Amino acid sequence: MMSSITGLYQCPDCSKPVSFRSNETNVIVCTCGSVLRRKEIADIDAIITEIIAFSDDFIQVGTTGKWKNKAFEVIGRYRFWLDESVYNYWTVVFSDGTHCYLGEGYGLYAFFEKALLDMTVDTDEIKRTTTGNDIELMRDEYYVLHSKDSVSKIEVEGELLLPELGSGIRTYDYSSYKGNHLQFIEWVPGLITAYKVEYLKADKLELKNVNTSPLKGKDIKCPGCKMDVHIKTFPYAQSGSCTKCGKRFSLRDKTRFDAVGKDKTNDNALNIPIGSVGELSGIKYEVIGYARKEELNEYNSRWKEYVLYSKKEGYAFLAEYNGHWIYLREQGDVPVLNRLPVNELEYERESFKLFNNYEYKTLDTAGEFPYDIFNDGTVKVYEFISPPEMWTAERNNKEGLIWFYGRHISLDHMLNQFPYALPSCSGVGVLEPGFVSPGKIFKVTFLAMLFLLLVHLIISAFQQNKVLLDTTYYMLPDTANTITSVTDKFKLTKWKSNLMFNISADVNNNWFELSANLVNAKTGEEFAIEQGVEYYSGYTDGESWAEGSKDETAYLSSVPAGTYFLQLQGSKPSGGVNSFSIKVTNDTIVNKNLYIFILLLLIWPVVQYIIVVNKEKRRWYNSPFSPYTYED
Amino acid sequence: MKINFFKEDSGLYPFRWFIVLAAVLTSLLTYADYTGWDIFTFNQQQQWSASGPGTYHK
Repeated sequence: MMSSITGLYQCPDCSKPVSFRSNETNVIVCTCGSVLRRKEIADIDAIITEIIAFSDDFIQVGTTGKWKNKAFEVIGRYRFWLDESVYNYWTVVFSDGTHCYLGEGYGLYAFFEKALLDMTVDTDEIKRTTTGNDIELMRDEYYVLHSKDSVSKIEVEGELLLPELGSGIRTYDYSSYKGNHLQFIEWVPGLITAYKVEYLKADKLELKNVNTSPLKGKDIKCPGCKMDVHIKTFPYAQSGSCTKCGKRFSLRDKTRFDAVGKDKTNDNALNIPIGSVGELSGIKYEVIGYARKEELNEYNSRWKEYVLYSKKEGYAFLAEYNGHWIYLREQGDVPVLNRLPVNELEYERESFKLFNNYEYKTLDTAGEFPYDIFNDGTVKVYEFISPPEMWTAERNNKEGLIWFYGRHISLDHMLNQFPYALPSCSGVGVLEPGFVSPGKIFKVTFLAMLFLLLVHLIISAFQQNKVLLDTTYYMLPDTANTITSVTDKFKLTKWKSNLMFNISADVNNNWFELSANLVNAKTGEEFAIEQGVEYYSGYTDGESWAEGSKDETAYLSSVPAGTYFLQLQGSKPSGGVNSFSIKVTNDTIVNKNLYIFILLLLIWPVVQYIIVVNKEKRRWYNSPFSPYTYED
Repeated sequence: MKINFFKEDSGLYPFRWFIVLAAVLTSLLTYADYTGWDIFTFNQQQQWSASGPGTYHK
């Protein structure tokens, strides 16, 4: 036997040398096909497990990437065959020699790092908890069990760390209310490993040396008409149906597709043909499946669902109802609830309201599906909306709870990407944009008003408020009813500014009028205003009344800089006031401006509020949870 | 929250025109406050130029 210090061993089956790159891995696949495990530092033996049969995934041995600023390389993987899915745990080695798993499957990418719980947890409790219930797994942090799964087959490739190789491996997926995730893997009874799971988008990994060639898939004969059927995304696809005869088939024993009935209405009324390619949310997808489903409730609503596939981003779904389109993808970071249904959930400070919950049956199918689509009536669906977004939870007794995030896709965008005869829109779509919560309208309007006020106050703080004239003029009684005066010259220094005239006259049941003429001493340009002061009061029909004011304010606005003088002329009726006061201030703030701009600003929110309430009423018409009342 | 409120995936997308309106009104208010423009006085204030209305002469 060769030295193990260097990581070199000899394959017990073919005698060829095999070398481990990492000190922490324990399983390697020899070029002869034997799967070898080093038990102790100086011992190696062959173990019985399968080598990955369908290995043409996007990630491959030799793929490199970056995570948290650390470069890594993929050196091998094990693949779990679960109840209705398969999932890859790639062993990655970082530039500093450490390792962890990169989980990948169905477009969900996550790093799995061995976790140490900071408190003692009964392993039986981890296993006993039922989906949807929570337990304390970290100090002061409760986790809800989302799903339990059992592993029926393990396949391996390259060099990897495989803690144990037993039968009856089980997985338990927990998520905390704080958004943390833990996966427990029970390798053999009594041996449970905890992994901290961190979901991330594929683009964040900066992956290089990836395999972009199409999946080879699996060729089968239709169990009905014996036509050749190609399951393009096998082993991820778990069921399908023949486009010709409508025979349905599901994956059994991880190897063969068995017939599970036939489409009752095999009309294949696809608006987008299978094989079509289009881009949604920046991802290029191919349509690989189609289903027409019906709600099992009093509404019996029917909708069409298209299965999309991208080798890098996995599966997505397009749901169409009344010409409105919703694009959905399974998510790892999801809302965490310990009971369903709830009337409302909050995710990332956004409130989603329960719109519908139902079970469904599948009427017609074509192509392939990443889950067993034919287990009608066993999946309970909960839809929470905050248009144009939604969260959909699918609860399945076998798989637990799966969350999908959905977004409205406009018909224009759909026609642009899938130029086929798509149905035209009718009614208000579940996620059709245009919904703005009244609370949000109020909040945004309040912020905008606050901003206007702030701007107004800041500018007013820098106004000159320079008093140019502050005097009282006296008019002798029984002389002329007018008085004129010319002021000294003064300078207005600002590019443009206003003059505020505060006029006071002790009028009582009569009037006074001031004409002010501002003359530019150099150019002769004139700016003039007239302002009356009137005050009337009396006693009529047992009630006293008064109108007008003894003080008035007038403005000369936007006066250019220059040297000016004022020509003033006061007029009054015979027997009118004997004096009046005038104060002229340059560069003052005009608060009326603020009020009118606030009024103009309020037009949009008021109109929007009326539209929103009307539209929402129509949107919720088909929901059993509508907060609105309807006349019919 | 995405900053570009003209993109559909931004939380402020439904408010895009309101934000534009608020920006325009803020600019107008700034101009009015700075130059002493009283938007109510447009029909009160009279103005003459010493050179007259600009009629033709030799």
